[in-house]
Amino acid sequence: MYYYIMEPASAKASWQEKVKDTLGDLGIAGETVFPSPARTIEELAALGIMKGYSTIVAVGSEKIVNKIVTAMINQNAGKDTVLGIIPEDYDSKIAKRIGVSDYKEACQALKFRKLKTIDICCIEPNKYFMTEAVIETTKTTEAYLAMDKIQAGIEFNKITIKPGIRLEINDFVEKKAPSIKNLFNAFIGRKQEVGPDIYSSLFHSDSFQIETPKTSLPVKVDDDIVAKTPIICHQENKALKIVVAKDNIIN
Amino acid sequence: MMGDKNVSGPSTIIGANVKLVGTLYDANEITVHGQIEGEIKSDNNIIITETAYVKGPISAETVQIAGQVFGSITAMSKLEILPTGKVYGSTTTKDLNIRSGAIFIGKSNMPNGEKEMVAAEEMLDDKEIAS
Repeated sequence: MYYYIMEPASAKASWQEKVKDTLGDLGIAGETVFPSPARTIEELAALGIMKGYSTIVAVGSEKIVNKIVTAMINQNAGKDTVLGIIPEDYDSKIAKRIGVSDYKEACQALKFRKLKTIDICCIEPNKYFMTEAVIETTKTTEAYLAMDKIQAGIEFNKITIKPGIRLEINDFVEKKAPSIKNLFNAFIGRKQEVGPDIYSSLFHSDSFQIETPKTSLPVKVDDDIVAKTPIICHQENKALKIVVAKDNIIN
Repeated sequence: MMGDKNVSGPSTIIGANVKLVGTLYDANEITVHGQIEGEIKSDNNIIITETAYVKGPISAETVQIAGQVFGSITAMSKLEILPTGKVYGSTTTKDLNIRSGAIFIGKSNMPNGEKEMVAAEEMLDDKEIAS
């Protein structure tokens, strides 16, 4: 019933052993696999679906979760197969989203099997993620943004695509010359006054198209490059069933 | 935005380095620091800050202007033009507040204002007849 995909990391071996022991104690031990150069996370997930497991469990970082999400949706398994998550970082967004604060709670959630159907972000054609995608540059870069009835020219250092779909655009470069007051504060070693952030933007829509006309920039999910600009990003509504904590109320 | 009717959801913010063309709609609050050429609509508040430049109509529950607006403004509850605000266009609201230093060039309309004006004129006529 349960198919566990664990990250290959010797540093996490003791944590993984604790997880396995807890799963055994709860009576929900299943097949456990580790990715290798010969078998990627996506391939292992596809294999688990093919073998007919009802629950594919990602054990580890957000990176492994997003790769399994992509594999599950690309295999059209989002409706029949359930995604379980045992996050290694208890402060991560995914841990908060499923409502667990340690591996024991995550294992218990798997046993109780409370399901929630969630929306997933998609970078077309076939990259899916539950967390965030980021386009980042060291210098301010021009971009074009197209949505439903809107076209916008923007300058940015960082674009963050969040579930929802929400788009945060940040330009960290200070456009204005420093004020006399701030120059004086810098001269006497006092902390400079920070004004309101007027260079950040926030949009939300069902889909976005992002172009960077002067250069093609990588789009990263958990530090992995999943695409390069231009991209079209949309939300797949109710695309995946996940196991959440019994008392989870967060969307 | 764009058909999003979730009033408790996130608002829209247009940064100072954004130039936007098109119709911007959000059920929630919209804050504009940048440039917009087109219509802006909200079921909530619209805030046009000091750095903003808008060419097009604006409509919302309440509207606050500190930047430049070339276009008509409809505010269901309240319209406030701050000292740095410049409005070139007609306004429609039942509560208009223009601060000292603001520029407003255009026609101001108040809903039900014409009825009240007719009623006031009738009262005046009645008084003249009585005297």
